[in-house]
Amino acid sequence: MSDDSHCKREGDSISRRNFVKVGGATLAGGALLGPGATPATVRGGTGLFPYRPRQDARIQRHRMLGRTGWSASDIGMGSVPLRETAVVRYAYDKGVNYFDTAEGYGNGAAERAIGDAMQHMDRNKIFIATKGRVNAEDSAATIVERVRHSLERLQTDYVDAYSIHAVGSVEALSHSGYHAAIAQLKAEGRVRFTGVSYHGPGDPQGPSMGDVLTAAAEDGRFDIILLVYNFMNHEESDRIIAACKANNVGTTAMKTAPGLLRYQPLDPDNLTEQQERYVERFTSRGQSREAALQRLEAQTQRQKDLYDRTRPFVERYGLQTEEQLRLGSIHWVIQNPDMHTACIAFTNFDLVDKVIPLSGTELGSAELRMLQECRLALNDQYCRHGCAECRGSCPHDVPVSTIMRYAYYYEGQGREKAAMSLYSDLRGSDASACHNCAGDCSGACPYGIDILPKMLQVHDLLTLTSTLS
Amino acid sequence: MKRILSLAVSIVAVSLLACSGQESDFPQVAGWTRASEVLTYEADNLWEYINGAAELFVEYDVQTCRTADLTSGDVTVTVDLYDMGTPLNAFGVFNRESPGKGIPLPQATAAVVSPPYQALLLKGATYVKVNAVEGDLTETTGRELLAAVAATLSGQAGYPSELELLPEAGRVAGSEGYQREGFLGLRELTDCVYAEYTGDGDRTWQGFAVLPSASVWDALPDSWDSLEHNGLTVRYREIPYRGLVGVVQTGTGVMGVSGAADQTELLSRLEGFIS
Repeated sequence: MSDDSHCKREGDSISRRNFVKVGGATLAGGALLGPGATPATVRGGTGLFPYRPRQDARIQRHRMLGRTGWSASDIGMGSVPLRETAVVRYAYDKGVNYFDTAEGYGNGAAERAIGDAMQHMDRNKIFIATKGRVNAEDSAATIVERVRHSLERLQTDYVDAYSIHAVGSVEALSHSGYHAAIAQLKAEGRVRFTGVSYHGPGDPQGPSMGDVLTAAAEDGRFDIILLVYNFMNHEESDRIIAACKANNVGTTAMKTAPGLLRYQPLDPDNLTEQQERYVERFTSRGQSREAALQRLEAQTQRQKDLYDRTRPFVERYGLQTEEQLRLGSIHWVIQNPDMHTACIAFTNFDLVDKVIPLSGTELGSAELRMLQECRLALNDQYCRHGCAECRGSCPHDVPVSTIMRYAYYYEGQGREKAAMSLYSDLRGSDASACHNCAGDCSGACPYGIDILPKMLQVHDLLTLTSTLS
Repeated sequence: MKRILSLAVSIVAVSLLACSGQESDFPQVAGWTRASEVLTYEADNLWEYINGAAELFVEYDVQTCRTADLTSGDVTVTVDLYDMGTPLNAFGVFNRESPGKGIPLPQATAAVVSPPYQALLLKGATYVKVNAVEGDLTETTGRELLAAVAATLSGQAGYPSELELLPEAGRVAGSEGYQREGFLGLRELTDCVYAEYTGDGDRTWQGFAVLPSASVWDALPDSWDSLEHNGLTVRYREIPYRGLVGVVQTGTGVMGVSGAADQTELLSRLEGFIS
């Protein structure tokens, strides 16, 4: 394959067929575009984003943060990891007026760092959003006490928002202790607004980020939402953002820059020094080398998946460094007028000087169109992490995302026996029910995956039978 | 068929669930009963457990986090054992997360108990975090639990040897730290051990040493000025709000001081620091 066939254009638009073909292969194999490949770029790679730091740059755009009425800088400050108080002050002096933190970041260290900067900032000109874990058994008094500790660390009399950190379920949105605590704290003038953050489930059978945060947006009791939003992971986020817009809820983005430009391939017979150390970490505690290698293989595969998924964006933008990838991703995020502020983890002055110049600037129409086309092309290629949208569409309750995960264990991680064993444990709910099913699940995946043939393929794989011959 | 299927399924993007860890080597503490299975997380799925707080641990090269609940009477705690790979990494994280004054604890490098919620422990390459999930963790209970856990952990109780790069004269005891990235808010300063130093009346200032393994000197950007002093090249620059920072390359590596009001003060501090 030639380099330019990767994103070959027909006239002024990319060929979807070509892109699907090549993009899919890249996702699966990742070897077609090696480090030496010259990407076809819309424009010159290094000239696409204003990478050079500018100390004179200041925030240029503000967006209304939903019903809070706060005019938030389009670039906000996240605080994990936050190392230096002076960087908080520096971001503030550049016009950043939204600061996101949490009691759990550095065990309170992030809040302390912001608090130490407070004497240099006009409290009335900044919005401080912090958050805390709310456990099921927590009482209102417990949560009030937790907020008071946050206020002490932040060296302020009030926080603008106190959110439930990583809420975990739709039911938890109604945590009585949290709402009672917030009512009390609002009455005392300690908290002004409520909020929710959620990354999505660790367990693929858990509720999706879309389900939880859309429910939060529609709930009526939450004023701001903190969600994962980036060029690789925005289908669910788009749904959440739409719900927020409809309900006048503020939107704030985290994990704005995922992706990898490289990963370390694994040759079990020729480990790198770093890989060998990884293996020793487990063998020194009594695990077998084989088990440790399996862990390493799984980790490598996850990195490779991320790398592969990043490629279309990276190739099209000609990004060559992790920093370029990061800046490009941030630039993409702040294009959305319905994303009110992107919380960027400013870890040093230099990063502030590089990101702030993005404020108020626009991606070109060609780049935006390309991104939309990339999205279309990739939509039907993979089962999204944490998505459970198709659940409920199957008359036999086949756990589609679970089965896809087992298939991934088999093919993606080489854990054939484990995958088959897990699959056999499903027994009555495995995909064998798909053989003669008259139900129609063809439209159940919002991303266009045709579920039935996928299930039959995977059943074939995980049972070593042939249903499609 | 298999090849086609391989393409189809290998692009399924899921994250691994936490793996059940080895139960046998999780600390067993007299008077406490394990109330959950041992879960093990690694760097790339730690966020599933502690969300954004994982960033700090990843920065310091976390290897694994093994976690389980222990219960005793009406108190249940979650014990997180972070294997940070090296004592220095564990020290770096502990130092960043530690909220206050420590307690002396035999068999431990450092420990902090913050009733009624939390207790922290550092020993060797392991950082231990104990959070009460039910009931209150008293100072006595926290201290006893930490001591018992410390006794089960391998590794030395002393501080990481890398701190010896810092001169002892004028060093404020307990002010030491280790920062992997962005020391003083400067991206070019990586892998720095540091401490507060006295010497200007009541004022203290930070002195630091770059680990020998880090190639900081040659990577200093043009924004750092340069001058010659006593036969040494001094590179220096201004930090927003914090005065001047300067570094020199000595026989033991790159050493630096910060917070100087002007060049004279900078050179004076540097001289004293490296002498």
